[in-house]
Amino acid sequence: MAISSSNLRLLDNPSVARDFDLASELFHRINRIIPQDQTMLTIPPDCRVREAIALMRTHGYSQVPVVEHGEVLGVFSFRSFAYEAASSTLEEWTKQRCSPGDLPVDEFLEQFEFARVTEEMSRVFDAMDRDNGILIGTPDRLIGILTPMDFLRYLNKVASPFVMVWEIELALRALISIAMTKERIEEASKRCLSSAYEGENNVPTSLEEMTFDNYQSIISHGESWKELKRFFGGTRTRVSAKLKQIGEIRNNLFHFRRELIMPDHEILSGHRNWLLNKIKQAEVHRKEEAHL
Amino acid sequence: MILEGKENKDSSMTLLPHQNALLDTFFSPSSKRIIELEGNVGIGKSTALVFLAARLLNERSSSRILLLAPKALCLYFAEMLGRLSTPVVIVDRYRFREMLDSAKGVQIWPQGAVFILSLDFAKLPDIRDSLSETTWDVVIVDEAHQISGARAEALRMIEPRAKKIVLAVATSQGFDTSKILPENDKAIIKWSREQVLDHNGKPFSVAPRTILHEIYFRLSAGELNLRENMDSLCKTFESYEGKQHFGAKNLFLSLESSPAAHEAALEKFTVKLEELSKLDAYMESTDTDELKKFLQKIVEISSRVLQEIDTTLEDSKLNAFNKLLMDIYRAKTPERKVCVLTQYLATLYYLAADLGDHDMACQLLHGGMSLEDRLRSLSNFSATEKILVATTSILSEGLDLNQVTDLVLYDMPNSEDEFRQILGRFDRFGRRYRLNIHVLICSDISDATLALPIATLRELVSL
Repeated sequence: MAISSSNLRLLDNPSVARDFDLASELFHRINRIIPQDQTMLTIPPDCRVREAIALMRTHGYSQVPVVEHGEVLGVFSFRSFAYEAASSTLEEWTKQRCSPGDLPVDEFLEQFEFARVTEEMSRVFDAMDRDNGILIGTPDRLIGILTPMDFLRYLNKVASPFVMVWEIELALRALISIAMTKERIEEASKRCLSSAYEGENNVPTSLEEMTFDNYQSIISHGESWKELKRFFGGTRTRVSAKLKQIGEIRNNLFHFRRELIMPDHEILSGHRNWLLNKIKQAEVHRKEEAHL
Repeated sequence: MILEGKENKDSSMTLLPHQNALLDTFFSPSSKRIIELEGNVGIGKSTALVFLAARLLNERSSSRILLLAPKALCLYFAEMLGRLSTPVVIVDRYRFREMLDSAKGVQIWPQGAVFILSLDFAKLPDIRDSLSETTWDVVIVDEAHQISGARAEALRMIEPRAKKIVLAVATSQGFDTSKILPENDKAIIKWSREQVLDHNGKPFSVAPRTILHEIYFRLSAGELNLRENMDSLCKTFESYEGKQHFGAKNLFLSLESSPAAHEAALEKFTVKLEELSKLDAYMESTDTDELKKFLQKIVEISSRVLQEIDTTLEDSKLNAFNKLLMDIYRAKTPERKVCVLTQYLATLYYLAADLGDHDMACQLLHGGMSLEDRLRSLSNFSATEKILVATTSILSEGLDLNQVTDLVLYDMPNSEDEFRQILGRFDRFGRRYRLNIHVLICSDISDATLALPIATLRELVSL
């Protein structure tokens, strides 16, 4: 998209980059699940088991591809080692004349399936379930390795903002209802939302009918703030700023305007925790008042 | 494709005489293999590099071009090249995997395109190795003065396979390429504001000189108390680690920005501490009991500061800012366009909320906005709005804000280089009116605690 407006230019256009493969940008395929910072650790087939396990522990991996001359021979894993080691008899071990740690890893290999970066997530579920991992690329061009934990982390990253926004909205609703009576909420709604709904008669009167923007308008209004400040704390400007920030992330999330990045997650999480504290404090207030 | 740009109505896509001269030098048969372009920020180095790449691909469609730039500028270059209908691919880890996946044979980087990589991505061992196994018709490096260490090593490895190399550097950085690239086949081209001409044939330096305005304010008793507690937090760190802690320094800087920024930073800091205490490696390397006591103390002080933020209702800096805005708008001519810059996203929203309280509409601009929202924001600011509140980080993304009359630095820039980058976005071709820079300075704190001392700022503006 060309940048326009007389003297201002914003030169930024992801669509140019998307031309290479639009499908990859739009669909949640294997490539997205492989951690962006993954660096491939591989070992040669003659690597001793002891060294391989030490390397795996250092890097926090449970499996490592075994590669010779650029070709993947298989995967050495804690599981493949345990299977082989457990299936050997004492007599067989005695014949080896060395401890299991001295043996080369190619005696303990298992075979993983390969998938391409452009494949669908669901395509690899069975293999993942069976082998606890899958290799990405081809035997002569290994690109990455995918584990169930990578799936879990990815799905959590995608889903957690929705859950946090859900919690935030319900917490706002709860705080308003603790601070204000139904009648006062109705009055506030008429005062704050009339212009947006073109008249007092059209405004939502219960919190359940209201949107996030409605909550934001009510909380940020000077009149309502007099009743709410006790429960939200700080200044109206600071609380309004937080709600504005949440609102923007929420719009990006629900309207799929852009993928959320780490700072968005941190902001949502921080504001969610702030509201959690406010809810806890409000609970204490309520219990104290009930006790009195 | 218009490469000379003379017929193009969009001035941003029209080359100026000094930019055309660079292209002539590059395409001359007697051109040196390495061209080092030195020039101030804001006089069109990036545009010249884009036209150079586009013209090369236009003349030889099988060319393979590598463009290395800071990450924040990658999209900017892609957009500019896209506007010249030049095939361009931004390569990040995901894209690289796809290229590996779809490559036939050993060649990963196809011909006929400009590949844009961030300097930090290009330095990664597997990427660096792949780039250095490929023949490039030209390797273009923007902001080359940022190259050192692993980035320099990557460039050193890529260089032998490059038929030509163009480096763009900021003059003032004193960058020495001789440690990275061979010196024997190199030309240096220098651009300076005083010598280059704008679209109307006028010298760039004809624009009125920028003026720095210093606005001083005092802290309230509550705010001073908050600072004392923060000081206590920093001292606790010093007593444990024996030196000033980086995180504590950042907390102090956030406190100087706004209560919103400070609260956000403090919350993030506490979370990080909790994560740290869960790291086995860290716990194993330290005296656990001592660490536990230390962390407990930090959490106590942090909680106290967070509570104090909640109860401190004054914000002297914000008051000074509001007064400043009133003063700026009191002057009627020229029509005032104000850009407020902050280092912190939380401060940006805080200022927006405060301006809203004062019935002053503003546009926001920060890196977390979608492209459409950013464009809308800039367009609204250009057309009708008087205030733009932006984060400093977004200014590295190719913005042209030469119509702003007043730049308010709500937070001090982090470094001289950052300030030069900021100035380059505002003090550039097309400026008709003087740029007024306003800085808010707290009289109660010493200059040494500022990210960039005011004396340095004065010096930079007067240059």
